[in-house]
Amino acid sequence: MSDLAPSQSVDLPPDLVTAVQADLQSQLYGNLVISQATATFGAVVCAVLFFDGQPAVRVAAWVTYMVLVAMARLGWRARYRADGVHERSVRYWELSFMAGVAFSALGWGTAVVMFFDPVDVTRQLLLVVTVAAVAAGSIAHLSASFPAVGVMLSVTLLPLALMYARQPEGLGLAVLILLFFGVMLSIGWRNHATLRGNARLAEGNRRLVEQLTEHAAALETARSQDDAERELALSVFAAILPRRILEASKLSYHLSSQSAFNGDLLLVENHPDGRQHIMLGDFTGHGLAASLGAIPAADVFMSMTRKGFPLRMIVGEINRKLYTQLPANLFCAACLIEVDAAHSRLRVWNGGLPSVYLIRRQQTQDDRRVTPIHADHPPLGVLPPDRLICTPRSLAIDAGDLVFMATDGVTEQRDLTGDMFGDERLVQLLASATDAAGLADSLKRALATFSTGVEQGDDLTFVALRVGPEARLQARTLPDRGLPPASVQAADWRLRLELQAPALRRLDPVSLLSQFVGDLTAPAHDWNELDLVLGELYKNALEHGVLRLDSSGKHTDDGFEAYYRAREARLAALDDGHVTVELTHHRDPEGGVLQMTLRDSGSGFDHRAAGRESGEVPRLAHGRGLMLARSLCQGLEHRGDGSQVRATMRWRADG
Amino acid sequence: MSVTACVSAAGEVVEIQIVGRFDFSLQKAFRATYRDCPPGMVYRVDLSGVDYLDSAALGMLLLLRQHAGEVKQDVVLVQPTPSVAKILRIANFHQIFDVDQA
Repeated sequence: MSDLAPSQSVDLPPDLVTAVQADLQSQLYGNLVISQATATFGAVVCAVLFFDGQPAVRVAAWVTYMVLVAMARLGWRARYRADGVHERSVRYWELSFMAGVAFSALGWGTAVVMFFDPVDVTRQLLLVVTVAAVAAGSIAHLSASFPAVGVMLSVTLLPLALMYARQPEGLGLAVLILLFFGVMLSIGWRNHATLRGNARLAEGNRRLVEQLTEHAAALETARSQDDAERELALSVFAAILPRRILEASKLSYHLSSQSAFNGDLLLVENHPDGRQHIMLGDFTGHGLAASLGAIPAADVFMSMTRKGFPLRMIVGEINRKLYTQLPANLFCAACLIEVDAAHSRLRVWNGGLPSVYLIRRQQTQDDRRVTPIHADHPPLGVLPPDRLICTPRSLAIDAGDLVFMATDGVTEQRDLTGDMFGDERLVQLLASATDAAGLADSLKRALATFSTGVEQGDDLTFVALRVGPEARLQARTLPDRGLPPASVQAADWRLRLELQAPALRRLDPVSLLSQFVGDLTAPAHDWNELDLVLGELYKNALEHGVLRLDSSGKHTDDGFEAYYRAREARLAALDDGHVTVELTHHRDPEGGVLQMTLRDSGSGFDHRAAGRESGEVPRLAHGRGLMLARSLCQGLEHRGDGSQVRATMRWRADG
Repeated sequence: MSVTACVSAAGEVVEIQIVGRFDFSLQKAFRATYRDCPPGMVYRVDLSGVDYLDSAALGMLLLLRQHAGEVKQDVVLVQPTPSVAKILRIANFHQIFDVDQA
């Protein structure tokens, strides 16, 4: 077995050598039962054959020795079976096997010496044949260990050769026996080499199969992980692309079935005051990478819209999130629009998407039905928050007008010759559109016809919507469709609004008015404070002036509730009274000055006692509204008996 | 516009979250969040989703403070947006409420 030492098998790892050895060991021990049975049987036959020339005691002792050796070896085999072959015990088992062989061979060697009769030629021949048979038979069994073959052959055949060599006429036979010895030895070696090769091969195969199984299992695990990730991406997209809402929204849209993997995102959500926000986004990246960005974007869009934030703040927040949270190569070409049907306004912020189109129901003066709104901003997530301009463009719309948005998959759809669908074809199609559903259908058909024979990438998403009829009801609050250009905005104007009892009962003019002031004067400015001041002044005029409510009970929970119950009841029953709101705006280089005058039909109040100063520790008393308004205004004064209030607010274009 | 409230596991902190316009229309819902709470609770009013807050809302916060026992630390105003923070400052609410800007 020394030929299998690691030093001679440089290409094999040591544990493989041990494994091959162990395999050969098990072959040795595996045949031991048969070989020992044959050996014992041979010994008995031998004893019977040669009995007459020998004293009975010697023959009996010899047979007993042979049987004991056989039993001992079988005992070792039982131990071997029980213990198995461990890495360290391979050598030990080989040595124990060698000892067994040596004892067995010693028995046969003894037989040769014992039974050799220099006179009886027949007996000599019988002995030669028997011993040769034993030697030849042992080869097959012992080949797994070449030293064992050597020991067996030497101890059985060499004494016989020696015996013949001592007689002058036996020299030829001795040479023959030595020749037989050599042949047997070489056969033993050949057998051994074959066995060893087979063992290596078997071991190699076993490992190969093991490795293959391992790789297959790893591959399977990786594949199921990949599947799980796809599944995850799909479910994330399904969750953030609320198709239910889309379907309920009356939008006509085409959303590619692969949207989860090409990063197209279409969202729609309603503002609390009825405006509708729609976002179409096209993320760089695919699958899970794209949904990484889609999650925060959708989250911000949906929740901020629901909470009533204006479009520009939503744009800013999504950009901030994507810019700070995503790697630089992941961003989102997106267009956000706000459809404000009640005020006939469309606000568009287009960052990196193809042009959005406004398709008018009627021809305008300049005879253009289709107005493109080009992207004038970079995609979301590219610019740092303080560099991105988030103010949307504002356009006048009318009931029946159509708005169309698409990702670049539409215009970049190719035909067989490689030509792209292009803007021109799209505009032609848009110009003939009359309603959103028809537009979506005809575009789908046109794209299918155009790309006949080309494998469809299915990475295009588009949406078309028709401005609802409610626009017509209140549309005429604006003198002209289309805002005046920025240079004319913030001009001087005056507005007087008188609300009689029926209007007071139903209408909350404050947000209408501040929206109007904002649109007319500077849409980009934050008019939150105007909203608040006007709200407080209007509340005072309505609640204390017209409804004659007394705030003095408001310092307890129950009083507070009673106050608002009374407000509700008196307002519902109101049939007399009025509030007049007059707004005057003067432009100046820094922004403008807005003067608000409110008059109510009430009997006034002692305004000298009301309106505590800011800076005082708040108490549970009334008058806080007036204090707030006073703090936010540059001037606030009551006139006459207190039923008239005039407040002046200055706004700056940069804030 | 909504008001939601939840009580912490230990039962000592009431988290009240207000979203949208905080004005008198929320009065009933807001009061319902604390009217059945025993004394000794801490109230955290999350204002991060509020974009408009008027004098009626200020009054409602004062009533909550009264219910909580008029201890400054017992009512915490959490993350007011800049415009809301300005109103709170004008009204001097930082003197009687804990305002948690973090």
